[in-house]
Amino acid sequence: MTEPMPVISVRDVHVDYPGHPPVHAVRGVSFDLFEGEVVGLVGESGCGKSTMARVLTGLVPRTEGEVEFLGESVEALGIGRRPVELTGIQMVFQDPGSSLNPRRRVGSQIMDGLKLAAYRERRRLAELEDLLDDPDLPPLLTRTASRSLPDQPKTPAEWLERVGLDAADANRYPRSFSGGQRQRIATARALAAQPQVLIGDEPISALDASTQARVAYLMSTLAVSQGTALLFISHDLSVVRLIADRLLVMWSGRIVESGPTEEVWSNPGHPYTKSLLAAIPAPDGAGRLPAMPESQADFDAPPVIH
Amino acid sequence: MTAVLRIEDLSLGIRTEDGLRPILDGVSLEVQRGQVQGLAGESGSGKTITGLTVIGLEPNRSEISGHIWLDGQDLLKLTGSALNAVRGAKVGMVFQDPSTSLHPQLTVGSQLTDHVRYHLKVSKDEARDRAVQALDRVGVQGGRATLARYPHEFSGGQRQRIAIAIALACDPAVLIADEPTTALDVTVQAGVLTLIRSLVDSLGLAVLFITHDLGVMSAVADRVAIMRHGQIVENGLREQVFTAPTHAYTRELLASLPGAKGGLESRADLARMFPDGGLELASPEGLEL
Repeated sequence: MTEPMPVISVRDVHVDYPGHPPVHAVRGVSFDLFEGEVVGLVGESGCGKSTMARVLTGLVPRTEGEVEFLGESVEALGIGRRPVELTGIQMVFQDPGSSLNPRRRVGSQIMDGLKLAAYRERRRLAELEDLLDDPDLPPLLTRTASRSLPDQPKTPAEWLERVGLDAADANRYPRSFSGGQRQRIATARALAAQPQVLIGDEPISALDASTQARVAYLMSTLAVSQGTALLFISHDLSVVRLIADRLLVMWSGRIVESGPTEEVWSNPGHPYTKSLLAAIPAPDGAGRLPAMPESQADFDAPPVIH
Repeated sequence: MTAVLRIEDLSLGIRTEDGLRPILDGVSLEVQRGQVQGLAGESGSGKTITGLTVIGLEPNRSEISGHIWLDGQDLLKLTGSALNAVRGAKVGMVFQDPSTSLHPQLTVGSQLTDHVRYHLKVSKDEARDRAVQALDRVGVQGGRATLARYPHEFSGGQRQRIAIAIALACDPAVLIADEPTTALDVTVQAGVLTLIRSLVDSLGLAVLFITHDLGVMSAVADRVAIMRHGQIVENGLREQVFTAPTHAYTRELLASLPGAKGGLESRADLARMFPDGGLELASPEGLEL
């Protein structure tokens, strides 16, 4: 049996932001993302997790290393429109109040996603026609492949219902929805493009605590049901561990620990992961103050891979 | 025990073109010396407005009824200089984001000494001494040299410590802390929570601690009030509220949280709690989206 091909493959990526001195935001990060899996990328502010999200979408150029999406390199974006092949990578941002266009009806914004899926499907068909003459058939999974599965919503109204809203909401503007509802709309818009990869950059941080788990769960079930790999980036481990198959813990631009969620959660190996877990206050009424990290000296320890 | 701060039947509405929009509805709360009274609720529940009203920072066009007792005075009856004499001197306040609550163009020293000199009428030198003491108390090292530095030279956690030092520089009896750790990383938050708790225990400070984060609430509060739609639906000792909540809303709030008693622990719990995959917008008790 051949190894499954990762949809995203990140190899030794470094990102420096210019400045005096330059900021080394990411210092040698490598990981793979596979179809239909949910991976949590967790860490605190400044650890480089959002920079990683931006590198994967080409929003930030990398200084070194390689990012491959279905076997082809993801280059940083220029000033033009994103190449259609890369629209198989979609993103949901932290604040849907600023990522949705306030002056367009939500239905038409979801339509953008549907059009991308249709466009990639057309490109794929055209490619297939070309291939009929080609004796050396390349892999079936290509970057232009859209993932139109039979039971997927076909219209913005159907997508709104898929995320728990009303079909009639398509004619409303983002401002008339609550934060959680807007994040559902942003998720619908992203998934309507039938991406191979969905990146959520702190998608639940701006929501009320009681709705965080619900929206995270919705995102993960929808993504998994259409075979989309979900990279869920968050500083809040307590919610991420509920939905992620695997965890990547980042500190100071590096992945310091990675492995199956339950193993990282119940048996953290790296000093930083231990501190991070110990600092989460549990809503158990015990009146226990969370532990402060004693020093950062041993955070430079080699990464732990479960 | 007597309450240092007593909020009694506080109601607040905002006049709009469509009439009075109710924000707070009969809120009553007491904060005792040496105690942290938590006030938790979701966004829009009225918890922040409650804190702001105590120090006379209620929104424009508010109509207020009720009493806020501090030192035998009803703060709601105070205006102008009488109110100024209370703000910062008898009640200190710490806000969520120290990078906006601190003035970026003023040194830490001047932000620490200006109100000390205003309220306590002390000399410049004495005010500086007090400022250094106040910084020392919150664990910001560096003595007098620190006073000449600007907020941007400090990390987020240190800035919030400085904001706490400013709030406590005049030795107020009451500290209102509105989401003081929400903008901080959890490892930094742990330090600030530990600091607030130790100030309460060592100085006998009375703290009204406002947060949406029930984990944080569980770590620092002695008593916990749960607020919803401008009303306090439950108020009790921390352990009771977290382990044997009496109100259905509190129970549902806790059930939706990872790490709470009966809360979410695994993906199986998610599947049980949201059988339709998280589609529904609101639960029976109306936790809204």
